[in-house]
Amino acid sequence: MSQRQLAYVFDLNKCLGCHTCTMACKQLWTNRDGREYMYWNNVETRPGKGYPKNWEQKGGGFDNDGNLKTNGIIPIMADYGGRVGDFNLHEVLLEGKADQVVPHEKATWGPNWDEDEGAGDFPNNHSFYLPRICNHCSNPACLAACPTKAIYKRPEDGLVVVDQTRCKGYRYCVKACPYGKMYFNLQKGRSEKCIGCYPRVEKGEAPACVKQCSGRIRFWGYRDDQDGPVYKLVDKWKIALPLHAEYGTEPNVFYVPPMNVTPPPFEEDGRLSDKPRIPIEDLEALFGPRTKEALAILGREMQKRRQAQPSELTDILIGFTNKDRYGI
Amino acid sequence: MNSPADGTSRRRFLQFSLGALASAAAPSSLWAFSKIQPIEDPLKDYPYRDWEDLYRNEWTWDSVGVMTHSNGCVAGCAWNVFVKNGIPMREEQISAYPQLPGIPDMNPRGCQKGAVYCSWSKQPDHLKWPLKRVGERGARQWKRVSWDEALTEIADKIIDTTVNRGPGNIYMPKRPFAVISNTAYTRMAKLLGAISPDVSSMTGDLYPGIQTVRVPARTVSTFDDWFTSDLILMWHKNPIVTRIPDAHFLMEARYNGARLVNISADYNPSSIHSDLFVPVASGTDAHLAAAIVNVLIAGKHYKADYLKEQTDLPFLVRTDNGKFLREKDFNAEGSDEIFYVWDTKTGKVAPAPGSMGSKDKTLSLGAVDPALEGTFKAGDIEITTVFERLKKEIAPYTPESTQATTGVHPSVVRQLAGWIAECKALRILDGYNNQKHMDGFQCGRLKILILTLIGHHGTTGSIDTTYEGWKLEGGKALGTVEGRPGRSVSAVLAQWVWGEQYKRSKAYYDDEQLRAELGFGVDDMEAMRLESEAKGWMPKWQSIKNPVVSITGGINMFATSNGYEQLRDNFLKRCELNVVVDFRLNSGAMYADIVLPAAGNTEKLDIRETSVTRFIHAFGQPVKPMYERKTDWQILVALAAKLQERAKARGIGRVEDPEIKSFIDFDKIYDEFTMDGKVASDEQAVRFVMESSKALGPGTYEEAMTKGFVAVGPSAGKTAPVPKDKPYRPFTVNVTDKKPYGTLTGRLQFYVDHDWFQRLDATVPKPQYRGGVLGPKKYPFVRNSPHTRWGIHSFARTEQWMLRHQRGEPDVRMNPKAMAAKGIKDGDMVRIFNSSGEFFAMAKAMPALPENMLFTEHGWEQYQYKNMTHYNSVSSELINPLELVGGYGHIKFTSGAFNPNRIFYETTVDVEKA
Repeated sequence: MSQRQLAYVFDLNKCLGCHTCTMACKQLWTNRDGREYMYWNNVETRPGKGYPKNWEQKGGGFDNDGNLKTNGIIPIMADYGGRVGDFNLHEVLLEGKADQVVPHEKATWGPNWDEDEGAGDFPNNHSFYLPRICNHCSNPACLAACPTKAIYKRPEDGLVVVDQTRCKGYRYCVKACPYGKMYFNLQKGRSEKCIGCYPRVEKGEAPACVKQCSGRIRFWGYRDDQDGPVYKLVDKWKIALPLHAEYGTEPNVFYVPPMNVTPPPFEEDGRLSDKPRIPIEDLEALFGPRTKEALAILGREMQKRRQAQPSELTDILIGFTNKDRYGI
Repeated sequence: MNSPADGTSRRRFLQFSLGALASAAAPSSLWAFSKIQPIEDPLKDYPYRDWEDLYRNEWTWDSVGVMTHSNGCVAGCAWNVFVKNGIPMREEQISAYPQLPGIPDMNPRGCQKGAVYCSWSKQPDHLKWPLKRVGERGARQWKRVSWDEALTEIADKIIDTTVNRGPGNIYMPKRPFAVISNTAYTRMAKLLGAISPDVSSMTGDLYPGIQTVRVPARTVSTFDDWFTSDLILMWHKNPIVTRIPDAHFLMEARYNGARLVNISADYNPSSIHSDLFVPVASGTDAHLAAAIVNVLIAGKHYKADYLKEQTDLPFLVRTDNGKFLREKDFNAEGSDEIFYVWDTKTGKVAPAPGSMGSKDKTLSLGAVDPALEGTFKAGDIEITTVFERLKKEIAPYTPESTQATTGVHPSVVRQLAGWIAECKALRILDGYNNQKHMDGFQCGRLKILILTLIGHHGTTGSIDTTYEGWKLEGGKALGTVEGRPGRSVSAVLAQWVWGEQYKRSKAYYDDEQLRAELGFGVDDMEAMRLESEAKGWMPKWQSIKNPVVSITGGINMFATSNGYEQLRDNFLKRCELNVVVDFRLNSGAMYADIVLPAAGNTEKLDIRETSVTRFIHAFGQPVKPMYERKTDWQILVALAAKLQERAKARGIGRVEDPEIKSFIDFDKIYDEFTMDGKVASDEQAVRFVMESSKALGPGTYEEAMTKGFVAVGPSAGKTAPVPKDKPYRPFTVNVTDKKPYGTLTGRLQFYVDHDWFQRLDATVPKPQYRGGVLGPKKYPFVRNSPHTRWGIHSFARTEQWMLRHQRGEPDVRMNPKAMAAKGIKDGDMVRIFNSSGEFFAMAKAMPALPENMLFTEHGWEQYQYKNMTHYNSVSSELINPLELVGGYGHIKFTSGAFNPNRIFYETTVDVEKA
């Protein structure tokens, strides 16, 4: 209902799992002041438990009738990987007092604990990377849940933000966000989350996670900009899909799903199999019933390009320059 | 008002609110003084937005500078650093590289390690001032000393050692990866006659097999050239993990129609985005490569015209002794560097132009049409072609016959070979891990043969090994002192002797097994090493000198080796003063007598010259060195000054160094080091390099320091010009201009008739032995310790945000079935061991691994392991005698190109719950 809506497309076929987006965000916004445990942007290996751990089971969002669900939980600190503490580098290296550099608090889980694990048996195992930020939803559960109405959508760009002077720290939003992307700042007593880098956006600069993405997987701009890559990938070519649309929040981050038939797995005797490597049901559980169709369109266009025919779609996904991939 | 927590839908809630909307029309400014006023619909409008300044104020800074990182990294990336109150706060890629027509640009360049550098540099492992050991070596008890105290002790020890024991007992391993920093050590080593080890072979990063085929082996296209390929083989290379800034070109090439193939023993992250994954058993890649060559030759999928001109495949070989037919076979006075082909037009032998002995410096054959196949007679001498020999020797390696070795089904090999045969632009990304296996030498030759057979080398394709750096005459001049060659050694051989790696390998390997499989064992390796030194093929300094004073710059020689503890103990027995210069306290510095604090990346004024992009990157010194840090150049300038001062005070002048026909001028060494003050400051040194290099020149210093990068000119390419509007691709002039290659035959050379190659049955590229890992069979696991996503070697390995994205401590990954069989669960501490050592790490489940593989990424510091163990504590190395060869045209000791590479992936281990 904002006047305009900023939106993102993440192409999972380009994601390197390098976490440069995560670290860019971390250094810009969350390496201080009680935000240390938060990853406004994270990258997780799928299949996997994700960050916070098992967020898909945390509840929240809306039911099929559009009712805000009240089953949401607040993840415990261990599910975020525990508190961030220093390592004993000084003691070990400069005082000779201990013999192993370790964190002061031993980790048992973390934001990337099951990196590259995935599922299946070698050589037919599979995994892919899923980067996640706040979806800046058109129907944000966090906003609906906030009893103080401290969460709003900025009319000019649709970014969902938490008023840090109005928030009373009731944490209904943390429970309500089905994506686990609302965090509670224990030091400040307020909820915080991805702000879509609005201070940068206001100066015409893309969000740090978009601009600093080494894999160049991120497309960004206004949802209604028919010349922009987001509109083309979501609405024209229809190959970018929301994550867990069934949560009912109408996300504004869309994903080009990972190609599931390559590389082909192997039969028992070592021949190539014609089965898909990633079961399509796994992808449909994330990206919905249109996944197969989106992958078919992508496969068809890639085949055209392989036969030296032009393809608008693959050119968009290549995203030759910064302005081809993002801009407002 | 409905509470959202009671389950009322947000949509219903909004419907209830609609009626109130009209009354909310009052100007929001009237309400701004109060936060208790109700909000009507935060989905639509929100009146109190002044608070938004809170985040706006966090995105502020005082100044912006330019910098790069590149410690040990191939990439080279331009970053802005944002400085607040004099402190570097955060970095962001500059993302302003120009685009080449039709090619995706390089924006943004940089990875997560660069993104966290400012945070890392504030950790306690980053040095602040000079430290002197006060406890035992390794006890990590230090006292802070002044630069003057530290340098005086070092200078006196260098002078005493040189005067009392003769020159050449100073050891200077270095790898600080920036032009001025790196050259500082080179220049000082030359002036002191010090021993400089080849750190590339030290880490196992040489490509000696490919060096026998082309010179140099180590070269790459600029990585934007990947986009022009239609078939890309990632082989022993996992670019999605190890080439983060450039990996996008792979996926973009795929969208442009290319096929991506990943050939690897494990399903690594580069497999995810590939069109074909080829799971080859560890250490059997040469057999797979041979099978591909076999299919290409059998199906005549080779480009005969190209092979006749560009390779030695048509060269004639005597059938009686297996030697090339040479001019001296016809004439006792003739050259042994002139070779022949069989001219099918005349039915006679014809000399091939372009070889080292030939006066014709061209590959052009003129009217001669050489035979690729056949057996002929030149007088009494029966001869055949290299191609004929190759065909015969590769014939047994069919996809079917190699399956038992490689584990790859013949249909998969044939599909891959079919793609290779039909592609138009093949690229092979050939990683460092190839040559860490015993079969890597021959595998390297086979890989480049695949590319060559289809005629893509130097035309539409490339085999990208690793960057050789751009040609910068100024850099060379800064590192050269006329008449002062210094002493180069193979680091592997130096450690084989000083670190007693020979004894370690002998104790670990089963010599009988090695002799049965390879034809030689560890004792034979030692005998051949001594023979090679005696013949003058490999330098002998390790046999006649000691590292009495060791000055290490930006590298940890114990970590980049095998048997951490053993090497350390044996090395330190020979070393009386161990000096480590680094920007942080790495785990080699723990054993130093003196540690000197180098300036970190934000504090350097320097440039980085990797050739994976066309850009030279600037360390623009956004802040001056903090605390008592100095740049590497300033540290060596200060050491030179102190040496000169002490020499003068002690009345010491020139020391003759007849072994290398050189001398050391202690009382003039500062003047020499700084070229009489011309390059005393960092800026002078950087300007000297840039302004006296043809590919850069005047104005480029200013441009680089302002923009963060500057493009090189056409002359920067070592084997081809750098085109203005296309990616750089090496060795193109050999095809377009018929320029001979720097090999003995002047061709891409696939036949080596050196006695040792004959003795070891390795004249042509083919598997050297039956394949597979050579360690004792009683240990069921093979090892894999490749580069990591989370560090550049040890760079960023201790960084807290990086560690938080791992397990906070070293991990070892295993297939879940293998874990179950050993009763190991994810998160358990395990002990990895064999007869030569052990280390401890946290087990991590990884279905992407074969069941017999223990995978632990490299770069961890010794002090990150329980009990100060190390992942290399279990490794033992082997020497491939083919890499000890010299005295054969281009096959000779060359630092950074040809000498024994560290081969340690033959180690086998076992694991148990600790």
